[in-house]
Amino acid sequence: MKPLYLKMTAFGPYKDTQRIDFTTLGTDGLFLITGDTGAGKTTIFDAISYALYGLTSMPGRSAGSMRSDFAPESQATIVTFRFSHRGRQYEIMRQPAYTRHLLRGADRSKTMTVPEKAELTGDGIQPVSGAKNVTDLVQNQILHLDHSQFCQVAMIAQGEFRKVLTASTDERTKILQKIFLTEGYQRMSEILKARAASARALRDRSASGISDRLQAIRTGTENAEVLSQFQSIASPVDLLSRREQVLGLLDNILRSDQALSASLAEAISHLQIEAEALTRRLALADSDNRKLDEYQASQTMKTQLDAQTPSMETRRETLTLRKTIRYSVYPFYEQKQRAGKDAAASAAAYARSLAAVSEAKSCHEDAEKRYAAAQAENALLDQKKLELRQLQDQIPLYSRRNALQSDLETASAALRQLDEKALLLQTRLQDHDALTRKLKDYITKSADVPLQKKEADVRLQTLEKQRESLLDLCRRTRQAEKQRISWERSKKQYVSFRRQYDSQYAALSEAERLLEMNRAGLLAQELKDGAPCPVCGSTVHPHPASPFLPGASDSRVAVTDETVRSLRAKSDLLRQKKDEAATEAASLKAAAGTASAQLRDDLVRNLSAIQAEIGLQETEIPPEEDIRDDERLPLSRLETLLTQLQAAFDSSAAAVRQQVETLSLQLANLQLAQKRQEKAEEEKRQLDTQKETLRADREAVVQRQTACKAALSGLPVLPFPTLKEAEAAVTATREVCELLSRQIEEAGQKKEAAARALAASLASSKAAEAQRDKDRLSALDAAEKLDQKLKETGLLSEEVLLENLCSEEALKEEEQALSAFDRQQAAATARLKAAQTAAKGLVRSDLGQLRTSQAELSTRLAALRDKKARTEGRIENNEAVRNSICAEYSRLQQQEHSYEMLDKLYRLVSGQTQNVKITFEQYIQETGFDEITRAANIRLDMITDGRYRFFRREEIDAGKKSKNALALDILDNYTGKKRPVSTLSGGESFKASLSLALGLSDNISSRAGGITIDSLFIDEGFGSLDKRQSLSDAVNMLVSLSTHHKLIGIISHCDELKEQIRRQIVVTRGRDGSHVRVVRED
Amino acid sequence: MSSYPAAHERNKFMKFLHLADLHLGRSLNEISLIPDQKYLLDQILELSAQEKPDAVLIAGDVYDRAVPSEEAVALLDAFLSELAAMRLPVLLISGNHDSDERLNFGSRLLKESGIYICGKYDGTLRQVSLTDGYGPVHFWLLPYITRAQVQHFWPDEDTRTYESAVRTVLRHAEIDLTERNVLLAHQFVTPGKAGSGDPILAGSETAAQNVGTIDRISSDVFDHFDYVALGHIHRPQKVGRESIRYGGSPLRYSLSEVGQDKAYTLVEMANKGSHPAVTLIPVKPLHEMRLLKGHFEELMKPENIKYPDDYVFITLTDRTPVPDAFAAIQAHYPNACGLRYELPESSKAARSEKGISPEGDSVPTFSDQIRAFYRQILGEEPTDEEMKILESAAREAGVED
Repeated sequence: MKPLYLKMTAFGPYKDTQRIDFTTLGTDGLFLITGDTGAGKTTIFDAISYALYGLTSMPGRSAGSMRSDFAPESQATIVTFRFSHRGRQYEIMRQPAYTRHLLRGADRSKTMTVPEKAELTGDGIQPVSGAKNVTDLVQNQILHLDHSQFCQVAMIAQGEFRKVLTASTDERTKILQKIFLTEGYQRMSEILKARAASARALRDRSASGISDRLQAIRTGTENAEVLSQFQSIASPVDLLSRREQVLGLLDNILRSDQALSASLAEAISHLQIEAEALTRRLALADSDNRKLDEYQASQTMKTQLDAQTPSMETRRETLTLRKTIRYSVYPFYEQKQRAGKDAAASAAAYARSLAAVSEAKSCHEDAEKRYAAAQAENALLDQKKLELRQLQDQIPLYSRRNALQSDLETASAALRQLDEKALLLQTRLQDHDALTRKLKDYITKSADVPLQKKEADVRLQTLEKQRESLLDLCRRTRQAEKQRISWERSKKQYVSFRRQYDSQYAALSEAERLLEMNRAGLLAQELKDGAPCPVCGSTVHPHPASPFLPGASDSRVAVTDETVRSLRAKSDLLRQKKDEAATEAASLKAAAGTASAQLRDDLVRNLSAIQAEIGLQETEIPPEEDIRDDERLPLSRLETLLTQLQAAFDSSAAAVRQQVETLSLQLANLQLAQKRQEKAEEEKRQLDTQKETLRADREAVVQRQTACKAALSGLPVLPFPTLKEAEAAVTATREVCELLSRQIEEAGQKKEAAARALAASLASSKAAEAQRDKDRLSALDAAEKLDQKLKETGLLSEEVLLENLCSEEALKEEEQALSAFDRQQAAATARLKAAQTAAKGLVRSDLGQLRTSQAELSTRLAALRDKKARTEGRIENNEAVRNSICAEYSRLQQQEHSYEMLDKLYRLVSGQTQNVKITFEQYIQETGFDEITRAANIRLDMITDGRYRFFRREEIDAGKKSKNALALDILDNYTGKKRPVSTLSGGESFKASLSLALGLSDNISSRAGGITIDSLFIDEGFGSLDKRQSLSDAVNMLVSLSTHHKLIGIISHCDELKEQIRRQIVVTRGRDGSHVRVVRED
Repeated sequence: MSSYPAAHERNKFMKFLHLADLHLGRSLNEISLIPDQKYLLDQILELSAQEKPDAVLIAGDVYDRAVPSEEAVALLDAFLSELAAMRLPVLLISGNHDSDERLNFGSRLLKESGIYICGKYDGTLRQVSLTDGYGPVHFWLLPYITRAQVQHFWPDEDTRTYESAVRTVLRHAEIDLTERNVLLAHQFVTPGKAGSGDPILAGSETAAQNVGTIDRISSDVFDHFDYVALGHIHRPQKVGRESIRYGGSPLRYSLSEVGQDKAYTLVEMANKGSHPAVTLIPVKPLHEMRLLKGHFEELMKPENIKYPDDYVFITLTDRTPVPDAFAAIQAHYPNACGLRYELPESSKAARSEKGISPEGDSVPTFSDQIRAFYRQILGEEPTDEEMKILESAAREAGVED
């Protein structure tokens, strides 16, 4: 944190605004804040501390008490502080709360409290406002130090330097934590703890896994007890230690089960053989019994069949008869029926054909009539055709007529337009002529304007020149006047000097005279009785002359040589002065005279010109002689005259100027008009050409018009008004023609058709007749044949025939039934024979007993099988469990190992080992602190000539946590003993704390911690260094430190420091507050 | 002025004593050096009586402090009075340790008695002319000035550096180069073209140079002076040419000056154009300053105590601190200045003019620290596996590695 700029208003003893620009003191090195006691030196530190933290550097001074007593109520106390930190610039403004009377409103005696304000802006951060917010930001994000830490590290306040030495371990710990970032170690300890815990959890889980699996082991009674013992082990460590035993037990269990399984297998195979034998015996007995049953059944069947034989014979006979009827007689009957039908049909056909013939005849007659009517229409048709052709020829003429008509119209329209244009053009030409005439007039009128203007310009110039010269004369007049005045003054001075001189000279003469007179008296003073008088030689002196002046009774001034000399000197001096004054007056007079004469001369010379120019009759111009005379026309009046003349000139000049303006305006207008005239000529030419064009166009159009009209009259007269109607007529006529021709054709066709139909029907009628006759004959023939057959077969009539008629299927069925019965009978006979042979010599047996034995045997077998299966299942299960337990054991071992390690490391880092109870964090702090003391010792050694050294107090008490591990002792080489730092005297404390503070700041800088301290402030304490040498040593130390880019500010009133430190902030106390100024005397 | 016997009555050539840096009132490690200083001043008076110089020049740092102690004032008062009684002109300027105004007190009155004090620059360079057999010798008194002071009087001149400031002052003095001129000044002068290398510091100078400003003045600035009597550096030596000299302090004021020769400089002028003759008269102080080193037992043996009154600074080589060593030493050496032990840290911090640089120990890494800690607590080295765990936990905790 390097201060850049501080502005304090109404703060502490500073009533107004005081500004300190730290950058003029440089970016590193030492600077001194000096001034009288109480002037406000420490206030500067307070201001910085207040700006940063809202607190002053000393506990006794609150922020509110920082308000200046000198400040008026309306002036708020403000501190603005700009500083840079790690390459970024920040600016803080803070204003403490204060109470004042209301500035506005009715009751001004009431007070209000203006609240506290604070604002922080800077590179890379959002502006923040509010006292607490600003402090938080400074503390936590910018400097990473709170107020008390800042005071310990960067600002050693008045009397506070002891704190650095005597800080308690807790306070030191806090600072060191920040410097060495040892909070991380605490976190680290917790991380290790967590890891150890999780390792233990894993281990326990593995152990319980093993336990669970042990539960899953099944065994018989022999191993059950031991197993249950193992199953009840809870501690994982125990479990681990008994690994061998457990695995051994499991193996045992497996082995015994396997033996059991083998014996069971043998027993099963024996039983199986027995069961098979029994099954065979049972089968044999069963088949014998069945054969006997068969024999019995076949006997019963045969007997039944034999009883049915006679009825079967009867049926056979009936069948033969029916067959004959069906196959021989029935066809004849059918024939007869058929022939009768045919004859009837053909008779009907013939009747029909006769009817058709008559119908055809009538049609034919009809068609002939129609055809004759149609022929009559032919003539009409021809006429219509002729009409049609005519109309078609006329069509093109219509279009031509239309075209011509439209042409004519366009031509007329064009003609009208052209006429209009011509009219317009005419008016324009007229206008144009008028304009041209006007321009000409104007130009001729203003022909001589240019000349006039020139004349006016010239006159104006002359006027101006004259005015200038008058002005000059005026100035010279004033100057001449001044000169005259100074001449007058010098004259007066001369006069006064003269007078002085005269009086002085008079005094001198008088004094000389007196002296002469008194010489006697003086001499008389020296006279001694017995010594001769230098004047007269007498040795007795009865009446010595008195040296004193007669006259003034109380002022008995002795006039001596000295007096005379001094008077003479004075008079000489005055004479000199008088002479000087005289010469000066003379020269001034001459100067004034010449100046006045010259200027009058000039005026006279110019007079005539002036008069000519202006013709001044109003203003009285005095005659020439008067002007030259000083008396008659003194300078002041001359000046007045000149001014008047000047005024006159001014007015003429103004008038002339006015004229010039008007003339210029006119000139401009003239030029404009000339230009316009040229343009007008151009326009005229254009208009004429336009007129010509129009005329030509018009002629063309008229010609066209006439042509159209001629063509139209040449056309023939047309029947229809429009083309459309003509075309409609054409279409209608065409349709009529077509209709007629169609009708005629149709009639012709119909007639032909009818004739053909008649012929056909006649022919078919003839054929039907012939057929009828033939069929009649055949029917008669068939009936005869049937009668004959009936007789042959003995049938009485056709009815009897029909009664005995059976279908073919029925006949077939009957035949089949009969043959089936025969077959059955044959089969039964065969069966009986066979069964008889099979059952010869066999006996019936009892199956029930055999079956029971068989069942018993199979149950036994099943039981054995079951047991074996169970055993095998157990083996499988136990094997799997054993394997997994094995695996689990190896995991358990690993986890136990890692847990032990983590636990050990955790204990180490968190200071829970048996040996010494110190956490890693503390260790780091202690070693860090040792570094600091080492650095401090280098300086302490230097500044105390090797007398003192810091030592960290070590209380290694086994089993107890060292609470004072960061306390300091000091070794005094003079006594060779260590003692607490609080026993140092004031000056020595200062040196010790300074060394420590510098060691601390060194250490902070050399680490990349969050704190950067690149400025250090030390408030007083140097006065306590009584030895001259220590002061210079201290300063040297600070100087060498300050070259490492640190800015070190010292408050002191020591004079020695003022000599040595040339960059200073000087605080002076005045009646109305204090003031600061920055002084750089190098 | 006219009441003093003219110089040519005593010596043909102007002879004067060039003193500087008396630092009256200084103390050494709580011991007042007033007795030693008094002894020296008496020595100077004797020397003056012997050599009969025509003037005594004191080139600044008369007092040790801006507000000198009563004894110091009394000492100077006695000294000057004695010199005045001997009718010996004294030319005295202020140095950077003196207070300009205070030293200037009574200067206008004292000059009547032949004591010419110039403590403050007021725009004109003060001049005192003395005559010898060959004519006048003009002594120019340039008190200690800063750049800012010169700028105050000559704002239009170039006064950006000390050198240009001094040049400005000299330029505005009407120095007659045909006559012999001697300058008294109290500045840090380095050899210009004539020589090379800075003047050798004695070690007890507390120059403003340490505070960061370089106010060195090249000796070429004084080319036209026949002799320049300088003060400020405590070791007597020439700068550039033989006739520009530092008088050197008569006393040793710091331990680093043990072994250096201290001398009074006696200068005898010649005629214009030839070099003045310089004689260095060695100083014999009241007490010597010594550095003693050795074991406590050894040093305390009676046969080893040879100079009990001298200012001794003792370095003990004992490994362990000796209880109440200093008290015991003081019993034999009442003027003992200090005591230290020869241990590695303190020897490195032996006074060096360069100042101190902090020990450049590299910041230990996390693995070093944890390893050391492990060793200290458990008495063995951590295994690689353990180190890995510690490092990973440290990374996770955000402790940089």
